Amino acid sequence: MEFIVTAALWSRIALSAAAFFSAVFIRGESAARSAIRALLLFFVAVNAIILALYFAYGPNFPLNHKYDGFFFGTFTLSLIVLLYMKSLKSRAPLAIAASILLVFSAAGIYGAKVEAVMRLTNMIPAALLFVIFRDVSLMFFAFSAAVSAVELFRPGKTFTPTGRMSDAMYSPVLWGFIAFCFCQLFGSLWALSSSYGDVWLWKQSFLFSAVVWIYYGGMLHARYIPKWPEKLFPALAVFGFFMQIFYLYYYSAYFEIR
Amino acid sequence: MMGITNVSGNNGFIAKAWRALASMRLFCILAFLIAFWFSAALLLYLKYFALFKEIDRNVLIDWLFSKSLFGDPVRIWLLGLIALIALLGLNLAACMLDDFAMLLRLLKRKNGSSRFALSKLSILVVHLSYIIILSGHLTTAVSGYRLTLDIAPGKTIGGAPVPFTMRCDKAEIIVGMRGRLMATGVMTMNPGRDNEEKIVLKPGKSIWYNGVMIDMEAKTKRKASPGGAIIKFAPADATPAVRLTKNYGLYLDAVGGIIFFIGIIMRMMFRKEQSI
Repeated sequence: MEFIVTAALWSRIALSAAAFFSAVFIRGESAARSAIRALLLFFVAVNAIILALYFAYGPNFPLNHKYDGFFFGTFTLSLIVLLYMKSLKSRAPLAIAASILLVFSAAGIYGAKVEAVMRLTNMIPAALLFVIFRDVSLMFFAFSAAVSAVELFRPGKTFTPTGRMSDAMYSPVLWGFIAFCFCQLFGSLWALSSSYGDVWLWKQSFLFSAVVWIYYGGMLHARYIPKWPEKLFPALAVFGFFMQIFYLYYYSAYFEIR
Repeated sequence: MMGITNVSGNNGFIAKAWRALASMRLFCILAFLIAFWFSAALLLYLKYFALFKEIDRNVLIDWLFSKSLFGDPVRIWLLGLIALIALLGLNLAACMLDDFAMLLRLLKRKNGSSRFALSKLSILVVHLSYIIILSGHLTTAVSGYRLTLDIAPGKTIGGAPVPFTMRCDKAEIIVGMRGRLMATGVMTMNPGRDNEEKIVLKPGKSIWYNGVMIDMEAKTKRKASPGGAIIKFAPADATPAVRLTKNYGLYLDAVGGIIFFIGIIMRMMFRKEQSI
């Protein structure tokens, strides 16, 4: 069991790296897209195998340790890329998304080494769902940021003639916001049922969740404001994603006071 | 209400002010300002975390007025936040009145699309949920109580404002994961009707009794440490305490949360493509 899971975790790195190189180096457009699609389908299948193994043999289904949140994140991102691939003219967002998959897959392996078995979140279902929805929403925001980054630097070259801006850049923010609302709901239930004893506390993680919620709430409305710059939405999408990465993997690691 | 909100053709001062107050532009500006303001709190927290922890142990309004309003940066920050959120509340209320007026106009039309009316209704429902959630937070900030009381076997605590007394039968400090100290205990609850009841308080779990949330904690003179390194104490360094929290705003938050998800589901079902 352990060997199969380890092999599956490493194969995710290989598959995401191969998807990245396919997006960057394969010359023919249709050949590159077919390769990326096949690799991502394998990526989804590998994630499904890991989940099935955890279900069958793992002590803590569906999360074995807290870094498995990356598993749900990468699962989500690979599905989003497959879903929106058709509406993208440029391969650049696919390359960015593949590189995010690569980084998160690698981080999952690092996490499995530093924390072999998750101790906290499985005690409370709400905590587990909080972790899952947080990472799912992060990946929706990541995909929008990947598309937005290309749109910022190469305007008009991101979408196919039939592709709509809302499909690839806007809708992921909307779905990410909804997933984040669920994350907030389960986070509140976690806080309420655990020794925090309230849905809101003046702690750093709560303050940051407020930043994300209201930031993306504002962003969803921003494109309807007449005379606001067209590049505002993509700029906000990119900034929002980096802001979350900065908080989740830097600020909370070095500055969170416990 | 139609008279107030149907101001699109009117350029008087009140009409202009209303349009500005109910505008999406104001909402966006406020949303980004509030997000920025919360981010600033993450910086403030690094230096003034003790003050933020104090807020958690008190009803917000009591804490706010317990010292000079402009006495420390956290209070100033909090006043700014309250001002911004009050403006956001006004903006949402104005939007809601506009939504309601538009919905009434749509319903009066005989050939109007019911899908479009439902789409507008979904916006109204989402805005209403935000107002209810904000009201819940306001209620939490100004009402209820948060008490942290030391406890020891044989000691009885409670009485006004708590609607019961509790006698401690057992209280002990245990060492949890990563050396964290936690408290556990057994209490005999007496709501004053001679029907005593025993409850077990487990570490990391809150329980509800007569509308009051009860949980136990291990009180230490611990210093906060950034980066997750937890200072380890021996059980003898801590004393058990009981926290009693009465939070009326939770009920409004729960109702607002349910309405919010109903509104979101309606929005996803009835929205036009490429719109929120």
